[in-house]
Amino acid sequence: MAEENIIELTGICKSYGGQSILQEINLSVKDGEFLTLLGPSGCGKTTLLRMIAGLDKPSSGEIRIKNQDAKDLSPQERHVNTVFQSYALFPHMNVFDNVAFGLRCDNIPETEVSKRVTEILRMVRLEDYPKRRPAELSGGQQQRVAIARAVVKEPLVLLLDEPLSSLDYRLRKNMQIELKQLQRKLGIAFVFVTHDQEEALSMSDTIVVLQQGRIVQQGSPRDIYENPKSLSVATFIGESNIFDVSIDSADAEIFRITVENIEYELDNRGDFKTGDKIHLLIRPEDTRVYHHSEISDSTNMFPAVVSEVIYKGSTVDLIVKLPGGKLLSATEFFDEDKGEDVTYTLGESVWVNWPLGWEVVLPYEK
Amino acid sequence: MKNRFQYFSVGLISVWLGVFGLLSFLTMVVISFMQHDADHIALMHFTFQNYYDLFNPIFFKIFLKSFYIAGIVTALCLILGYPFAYIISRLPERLQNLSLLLLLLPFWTSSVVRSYAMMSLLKTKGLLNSVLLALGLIHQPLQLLFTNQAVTIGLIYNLLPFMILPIYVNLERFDRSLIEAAKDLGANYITAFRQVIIPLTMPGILGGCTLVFLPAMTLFYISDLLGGAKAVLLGNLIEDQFLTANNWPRGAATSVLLTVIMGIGLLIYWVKSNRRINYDSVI
Amino acid sequence: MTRSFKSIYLLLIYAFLYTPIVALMVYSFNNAEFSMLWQGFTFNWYHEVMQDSNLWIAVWHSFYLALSATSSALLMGTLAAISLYRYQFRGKNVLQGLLFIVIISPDIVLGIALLILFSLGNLALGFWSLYIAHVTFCIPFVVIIIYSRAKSIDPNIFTAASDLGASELQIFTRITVPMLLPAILSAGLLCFALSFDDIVISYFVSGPGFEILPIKIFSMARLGVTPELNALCSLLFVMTLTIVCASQWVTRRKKQ
Repeated sequence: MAEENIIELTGICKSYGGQSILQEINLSVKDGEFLTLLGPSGCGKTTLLRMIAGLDKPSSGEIRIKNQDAKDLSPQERHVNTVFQSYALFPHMNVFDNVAFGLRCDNIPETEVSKRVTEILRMVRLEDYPKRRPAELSGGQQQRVAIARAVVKEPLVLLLDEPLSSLDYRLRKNMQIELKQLQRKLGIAFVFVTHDQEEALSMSDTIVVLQQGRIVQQGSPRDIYENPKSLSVATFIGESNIFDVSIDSADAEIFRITVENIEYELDNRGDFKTGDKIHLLIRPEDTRVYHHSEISDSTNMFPAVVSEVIYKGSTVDLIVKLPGGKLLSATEFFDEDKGEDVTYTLGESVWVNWPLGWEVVLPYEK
Repeated sequence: MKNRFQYFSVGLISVWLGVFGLLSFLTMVVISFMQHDADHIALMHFTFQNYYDLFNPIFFKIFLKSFYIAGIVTALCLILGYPFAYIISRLPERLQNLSLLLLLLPFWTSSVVRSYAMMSLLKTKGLLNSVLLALGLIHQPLQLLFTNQAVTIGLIYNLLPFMILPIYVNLERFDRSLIEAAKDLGANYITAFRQVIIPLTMPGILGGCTLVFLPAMTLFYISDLLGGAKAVLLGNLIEDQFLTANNWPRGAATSVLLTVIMGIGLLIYWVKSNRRINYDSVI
Repeated sequence: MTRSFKSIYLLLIYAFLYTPIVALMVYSFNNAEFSMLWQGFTFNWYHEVMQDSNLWIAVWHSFYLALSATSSALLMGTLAAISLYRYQFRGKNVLQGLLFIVIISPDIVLGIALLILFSLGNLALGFWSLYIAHVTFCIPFVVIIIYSRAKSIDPNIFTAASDLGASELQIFTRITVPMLLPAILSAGLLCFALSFDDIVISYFVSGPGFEILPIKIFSMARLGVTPELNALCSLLFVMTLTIVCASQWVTRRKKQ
């Protein structure tokens, strides 16, 4: 896979009727990359997608496709195709004609059209249904027709606008895997838009988090999850237990804080000074809960009371209450090897801590 | 390409409607302010006379009568049509479609044909009188044809579906669970009907009334056929001015007035149905 | 309300709607000129209708007029509906306003307005005046039917077509028209029926040189009930019945 940028956006701004939708977007898509635009609805991610497709024009800024200024390129000339959220299949055409549509528009000879369509239908496992109408297909099959219709044009980049959002949970999981496999097989870049963080984490090479028309963070799924750069990213991607505290004392190496009357010494990775206010984030799966019987030394542990137990099958989610009234959520995994007892009763007194160093420390935001 | 296609398609219809819709109406309005002349369409002389004439007792009486008949027709259509719409809206879907088809089937034939059929039914030696005589209910044939009642029946016969359809559409979309909820909350059938069903189908009722009342004033041929010489509708007045009395300016003035009444009717509908009509719903 | 009450109610209304027509059809076979008493079965009146060449000229005129008015209204209305739906253009409100005027104006007013316009423009009343009038009153129906169908189409369909490389012309011929075809057909059917049956507007803008069926029937009916007219009206009713049932059958078969 060439590490070449096939799409580059610089300084893209967009406003509709005085309202700013996108501000100063700089983004590049590498060849063969699975890039996800992740953000809540209304953050401008679909608008960004439409601009790459040429369906919308930016108010200012530049879009380059394969190092060529795309300003005057019509959607037809961009070699970029889109899979729409609603699929937008042509209801009056059968599967074959839907997929062949784009090729026929380019006046490609019918023998080649037939060859390419058949090939792509095989790839998306629809070779048995070329004569079906879209209405006669299941949601997942319609989805695959929409993808086949777009990739048969051999685009440089395939744009996908929340393509999985209308499928049910199970099908969505399957399609996530299928999409990822298809992308590897095709070797073309996918730009995928979603508001579902789980989807983004499981499929992407790169995640771009958009909030209120701005890119707030960009990186690999792991990077985004483990090192969120702001509170909003941290809370948008996954759950967190958040403590707002001030630093008691700090030097270049470490700082000390007091959380719920317990003093902690943490590595100073963010150049924090004495007196700085910070957010201390602990992911529920990093929050450990112990029965009193398991613990002899309770240093650095919060006393807490179990206030809710939610059995999830592979995990047990707990909500525990600290003496000050603060609620923490914790996810405990069944681990039969260790023989840990993960049965908790409501009202049980427990000890809570987290492996030091797994916390995320962020500067205080309003 | 896009522009040429657009100019062609928009331009063509705009010019057509501009000339034959707007311009013809404006011409009519202009004529309505001109003086009557026996030999020409009108004299180029501005006057309000044609409008004053309309308040002359003879014409004013026709106005009132036309209103009165249209009102009766509307009321009867509502009384007959609402239960009909209600009953078919609660039938199973297959029967619903069949009922609607049966309702609309006669309306695909010309309404002149239907009015003629009604005429032959009501005439002195017609079927209705024959049946009544044979049953011994009457001893003399009734004078049914060429009466106001005949005109009323003819109008109902022609306009009933226009009342039923909007109400049906409203009732059909009506969420049944609302009635169940009302009953669950302790309402009896009549309360549920009055407090839930009627208010929620008001748009349909208003729409139906508008669609019946306004044409009921203008369908001159029904009145011509069933009311005979005693033509009673506003439509007949207009017809008469143009084709018999040859007083075009007065006819134009009557038409303008009719349009104004129509406008007021639509305005009432618009206000009452919470400004439900807008361009998008009409066009 | 009990079941039987409901059924009786429906039957009464249907009886009201159908009795005149059924009676008309029955008496069209009655071998008597004036009496409503049954005097024996005859095809005589149908025979007379068939022989009346003036009548058949009027039928042909009506058919010819309805066909030409329908096709012109379909052409203009479809293009306009698609433009209204697909594009933003200056004067969109003007076009909508023009349509609105024609929609809300009573038929009789439209007839008169056109009569005045034709007289001032020295257009002889005949085929062309009827054609213009019929096209004018049909256009809004076409626009409404096709526009409302178009509104229910996912706009992404057009975006997708454009995204897949279709030009505006290709979108029009391969997507828009095929998708709107059912609506175009039903608009056409409605226009044909409206034009074929119209009396209010035609009454004012038709001339002696070009007689059409509804006007002919109207003037005959004014003179009174005759068995020939019974036969003619029965024929018309059966014809409509056949067409409506056929179109129902076709749509139902298509759905399956």
